[in-house]
Amino acid sequence: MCAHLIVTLRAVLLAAVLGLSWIAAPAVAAPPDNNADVYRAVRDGTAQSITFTAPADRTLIQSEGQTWRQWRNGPITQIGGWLLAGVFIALVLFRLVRGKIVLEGPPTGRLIQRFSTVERMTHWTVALSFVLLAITGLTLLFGKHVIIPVIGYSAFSWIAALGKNVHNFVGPLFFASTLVMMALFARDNVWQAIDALWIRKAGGLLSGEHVPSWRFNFGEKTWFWIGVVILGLTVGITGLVLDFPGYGQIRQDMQLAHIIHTSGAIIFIALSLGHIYIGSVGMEGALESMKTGYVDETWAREHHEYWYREAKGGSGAAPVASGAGRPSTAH
Amino acid sequence: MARMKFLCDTERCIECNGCVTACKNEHEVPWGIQRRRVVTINDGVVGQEKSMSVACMHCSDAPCMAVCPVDVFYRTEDGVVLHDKDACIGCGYCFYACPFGAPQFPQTGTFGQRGKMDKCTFCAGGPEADGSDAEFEKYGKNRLAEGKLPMCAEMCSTKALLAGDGTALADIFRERVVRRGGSGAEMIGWNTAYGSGEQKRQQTRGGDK
Amino acid sequence: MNPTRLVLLIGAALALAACSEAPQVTHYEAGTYSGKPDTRPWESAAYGGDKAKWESDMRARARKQTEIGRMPPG
Repeated sequence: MCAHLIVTLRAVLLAAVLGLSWIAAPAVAAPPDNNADVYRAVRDGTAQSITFTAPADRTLIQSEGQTWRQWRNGPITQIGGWLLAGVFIALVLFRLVRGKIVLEGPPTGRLIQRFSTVERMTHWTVALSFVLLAITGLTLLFGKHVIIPVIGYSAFSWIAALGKNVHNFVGPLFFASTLVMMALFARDNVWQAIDALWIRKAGGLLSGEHVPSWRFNFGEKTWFWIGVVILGLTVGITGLVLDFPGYGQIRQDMQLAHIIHTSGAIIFIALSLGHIYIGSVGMEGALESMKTGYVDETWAREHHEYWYREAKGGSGAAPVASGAGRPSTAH
Repeated sequence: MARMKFLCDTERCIECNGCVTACKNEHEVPWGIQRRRVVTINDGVVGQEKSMSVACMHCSDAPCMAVCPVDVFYRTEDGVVLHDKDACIGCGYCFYACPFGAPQFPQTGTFGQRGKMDKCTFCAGGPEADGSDAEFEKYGKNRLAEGKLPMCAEMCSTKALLAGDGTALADIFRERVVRRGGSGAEMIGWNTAYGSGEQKRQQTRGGDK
Repeated sequence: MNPTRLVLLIGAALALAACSEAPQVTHYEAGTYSGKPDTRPWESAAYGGDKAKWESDMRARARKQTEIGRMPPG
């Protein structure tokens, strides 16, 4: 009963989510080759008798495979490719227009701790595994179009085999470290009143104006909730479904998981390009803060003014940022 | 020019699984893998029960080929879909895409990782030299190179399962239908594998979109 | 041109290459060979490249699958 419900739900979900289907193919043919009735019967998705008992093989013809193929080879490959290229070009343009975001005031030489050791280790575990997963994942999706024409399929198969294994083994590490990251950073990423100002001024990204914020501004919060939490959980959970095939999931589950996984991952990678840009070459002092854990007081004052004042022991009226740690440590 | 196809006459298939056994024996298929299987619909319903033997149908617009990230598949002049096991990475995409559930994977290594994909070769081996040990080890016998048709069909006791050039099979089937009087409903799966006339025209025009 | 710019350019070119709508599979056309280097069945020891003989043998073999014509008339 329950299993039947799940099968029905799955069918409804697939039909609803995926839309495209062979079901639309006309089933009319003139006699004497009219095999429409039996043909329809074996395609309706009900289990058939088979001497070889494997849950996935209890249907004669599975139409969902074609749907999956159309989604993967169609929108996911094409729109996904354009999306990534578009984000890349947008970042190049942003760099040309806005240039590197540098400190306006002279650095004071006095440092404030911004990230604890645990936070940094978690961040870099997530970051490293994310980059490995992104590279290997993109290789599997686009390698056929980009790499095979250059080096041939035999050489590419070495890369792809390595990529697949790296992807499968690093995946669970990414998921686990992302969970830790969510726990560590969730508290400082809740909505604070000042975030409204950031939204109104679009973060000052184009104007160059510095918008005050607590420990994380609204841009960082968006990346945290949409990127790390929602997309991280999405690709993480669907990834586990795909990574460990022997736990009762059948082909249709894996097709759905794969479509969600790749779509989510491409959006995740597109967003991460922005994060990686601003955290590395795009902004002075940003990389150091995650590398060493410390930022200069000037950087803190310009980019996170409320957090800076609080860290200096100033107005503590608003909720205290947890990781703000020790106030001003001179080196 | 031949176009190799399988045809299973469901009016004749008696679900004896002789084809499955013949295939496993001929190719010494690894444990846990079954290149061919017999499916019964309406099992136990008097007059409506139909069985059919299914393996890789060597489709005209093969989904496995379309989705393989490593491009290991190829097609011979005779329309047989083969693959290069050396390059297979065991991602399972062909298994997701195949309407017939033909690609199968030995579970090797940790965490149930998939090994290299195995499927019916229409008894045509693989890229290795015809009849070589290496070819047999990976893909089984190469009967086509010996001038023989696939073992499953040649072994079929009721001649329900036919293999060979599509035109010849259609002729045989037509003769049968004419003799027994039927609708042709027995040719389950041909539309999916080889396309109806309309589908084929659309696919040729629209490519893989 | 400095190395960073070169890397960026190559990266952009590669990224854009993925957007082309290359067909992922060629539709089967009778008699065309698509793919990996492999010997043809008629190039085996048994046939030595005699394609016509192989084809007529295969046709004969296929016809053997029917019992019609082997049965006594009536």
